[in-house]
Amino acid sequence: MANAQNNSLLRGTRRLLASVMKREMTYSLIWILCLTLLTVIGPIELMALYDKTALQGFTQIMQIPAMVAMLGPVFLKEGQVATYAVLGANEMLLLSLLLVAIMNVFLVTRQTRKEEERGSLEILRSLPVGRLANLSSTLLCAVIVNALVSAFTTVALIALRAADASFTVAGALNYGAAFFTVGLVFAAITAIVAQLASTSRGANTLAMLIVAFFYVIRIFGDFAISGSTDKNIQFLSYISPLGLPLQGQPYIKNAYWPYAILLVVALAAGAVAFALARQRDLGAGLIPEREGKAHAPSYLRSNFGLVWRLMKNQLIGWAIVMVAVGATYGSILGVIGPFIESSTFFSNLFKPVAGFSTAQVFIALLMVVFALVACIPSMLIILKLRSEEFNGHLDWMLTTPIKRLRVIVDYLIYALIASVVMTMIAAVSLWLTALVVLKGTDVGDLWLYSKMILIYLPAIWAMTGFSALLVGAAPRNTISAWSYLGVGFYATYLGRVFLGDNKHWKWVIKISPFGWIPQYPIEKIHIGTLVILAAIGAALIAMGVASFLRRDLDIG
Amino acid sequence: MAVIETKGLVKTFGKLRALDGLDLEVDAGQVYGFIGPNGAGKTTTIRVLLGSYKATSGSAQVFGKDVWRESTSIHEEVAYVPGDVSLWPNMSGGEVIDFFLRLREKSGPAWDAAQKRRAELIKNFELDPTKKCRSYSKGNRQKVALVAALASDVDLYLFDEPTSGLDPLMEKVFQSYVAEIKAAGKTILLSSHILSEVERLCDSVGIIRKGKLVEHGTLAELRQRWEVEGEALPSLEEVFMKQYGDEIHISGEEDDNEMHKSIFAQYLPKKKAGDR
Repeated sequence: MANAQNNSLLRGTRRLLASVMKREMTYSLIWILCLTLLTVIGPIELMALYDKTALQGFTQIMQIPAMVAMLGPVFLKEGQVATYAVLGANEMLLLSLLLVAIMNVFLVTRQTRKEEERGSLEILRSLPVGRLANLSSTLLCAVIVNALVSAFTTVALIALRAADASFTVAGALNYGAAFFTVGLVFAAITAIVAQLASTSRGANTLAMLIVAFFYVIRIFGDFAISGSTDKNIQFLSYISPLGLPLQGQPYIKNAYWPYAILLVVALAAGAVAFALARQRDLGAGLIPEREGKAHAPSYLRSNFGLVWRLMKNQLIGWAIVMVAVGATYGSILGVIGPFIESSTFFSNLFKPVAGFSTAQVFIALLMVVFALVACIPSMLIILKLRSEEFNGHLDWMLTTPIKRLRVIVDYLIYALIASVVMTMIAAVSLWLTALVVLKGTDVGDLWLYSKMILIYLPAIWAMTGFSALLVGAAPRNTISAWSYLGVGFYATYLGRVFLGDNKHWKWVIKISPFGWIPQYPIEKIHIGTLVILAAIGAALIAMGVASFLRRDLDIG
Repeated sequence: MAVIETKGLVKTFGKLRALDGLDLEVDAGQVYGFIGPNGAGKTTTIRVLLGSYKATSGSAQVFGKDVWRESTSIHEEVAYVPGDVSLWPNMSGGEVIDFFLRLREKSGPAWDAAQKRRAELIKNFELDPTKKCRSYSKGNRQKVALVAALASDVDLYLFDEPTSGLDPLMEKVFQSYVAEIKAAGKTILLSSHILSEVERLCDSVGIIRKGKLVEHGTLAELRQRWEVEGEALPSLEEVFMKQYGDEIHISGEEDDNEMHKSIFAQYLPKKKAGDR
């Protein structure tokens, strides 16, 4: 009976926890920071943009199906007055919870299945450490991180009281509890998935599919709750861990029963994960990995074919995103006219332009968002070349009769094609949705919509050029490309909304290439500006290519 | 005729001189063993020969062409197996092999021949081509690279520790293919630190140390050069240790030291003993 304590399956959990926390610290801090900012930025934006009357108009926008699908139902009853806090929570809570779910999926797979795949778990298990210690320390880490997310957002929301009395402490506490419990549920679900899958990628994919599944089924439940479809399917929102927490209704009811249920679910799922982990051989999984083909598909005959092989799924995914972005904004068009007219702030911002409907003016302002999103796939393609280099694939491939020039040119061709295709998908999707919601009146033809977004191509090419330059000349700093895109978003989109016509601050908008593009049809198109931007893009690409051809491969 | 020829080849990474005036010559039809411990500069040399790294100074030619400027046309007749091959995790081994073969030949009799050889190699190396590369073990990843290289019909094969991770049976399969390539009159540069393998396969050997070629010649020449009167001809391992014996330092308790020393004593350079 040599002490049972030493043979515990959990032995070493505490020490492993310290190491897990240490490795997760950077990721977690970034997540906590982003989630906290995200939570308060919605309400702050609301307070900056809307007066109390406009807020009621905004409530109507939140009630249209596209918004309910994306952000969840509006819980205000007839006659209840919308407050900043209620609408802020309505706007941000579900999206933040979605991010919390994703954060937990990444955290748990990274610390369990990934460690197992890398072999570090094998070494660890040869030490006097319990078989379940890896899982228990990972889940404890998830508990701590979720608690921190919850605490930070709660404190940030309480701080908003300084700006508006509707941000009650009780509401903030309720809001934070949603983060904590939803996070735990997805940490536990991922822990189960990590036992079932055979690879870390498999675990990640499956867990993300589960997140997407729960997000989607609650759309139908939320429609029912909003009264736009049959009441019978309301349960879909209650069985989804992304639908149930919304029933806590922070700042309205501040109910805790949904969180109690979520906590029980998390504990049960955690117990299942431990039971599975106890049985399982190291490295084994119940779901076998899908077999590949013994031969290459016929298009895989050149680097050009390889880029397609590597990017195909991602590009299809982005095409779907573009359809969704177009459809979402398109569906707002039906209600945007009266809404803008009801708000002094917005009627100042969207000044009527002769010959154009309010909806079209609204779209002109929003096009920059479309362009910023459409820019991402092109950048992903160029930066893929960098990861191909870093992973050592390129090194080996270049030992065949393939020219380096050919390789980088292939990626550039895809990036340029993607820029056109992605922007056009958004334009078509927007136009089609507009046709439906505006019932054919005041829509404008597809050419107008195409023109509105295609004028952003030179800006996208400039960003592509910047990314290509980094790949060629500063391969270790390609992350700057994303930072610059982020700066572009804040400077151009938010800059236009908040700085408006302020003469002293106008230059901020021009930091990003997107700020140079006119808001057609409100503003006139200057061909010269577009040509210069495109030329800058071409020059950056040329510099990137030249540096790429001249340097050593940089392999990680 | 020299297939590979470098003169005074220098490659620096910051302060590190990875290659420090390397003179290497490999003739057509030779199987050349390129040996040295980790960090001596073997992989750097091969990467310069392939045009992956640009030489800091000195010259390097393959087939009489400059390795940096004319690398692509050189590659038409070169197949390379890296020591630690990194494969696309989401592609199957079969896809990767086909892709590499197609980068050389896309159709016609050469393509058919490559496919025939591919099938034979996959069978002999016992590789499952339908598995995704991310689930291959180190040895299986190595097999993918070996099949892709050996199924190509080229004039020069560059192998950088090609058998690391292979079991002894598969090592034998590899050796039989090397013999076949050699019989066909092709040239092979085999970088390795498995000395028995080099001894078995190679006609000529070069020993690299700190970025310089410190010893080279045919196996017989090397062994005679390091012969000690009254003793049997040294093995390649003994020749190698005479180059490197002075680099072994064991520190520890006095008694243990004596034991370690007795193991290494046989390798310590006897010729140089008088100099010290």
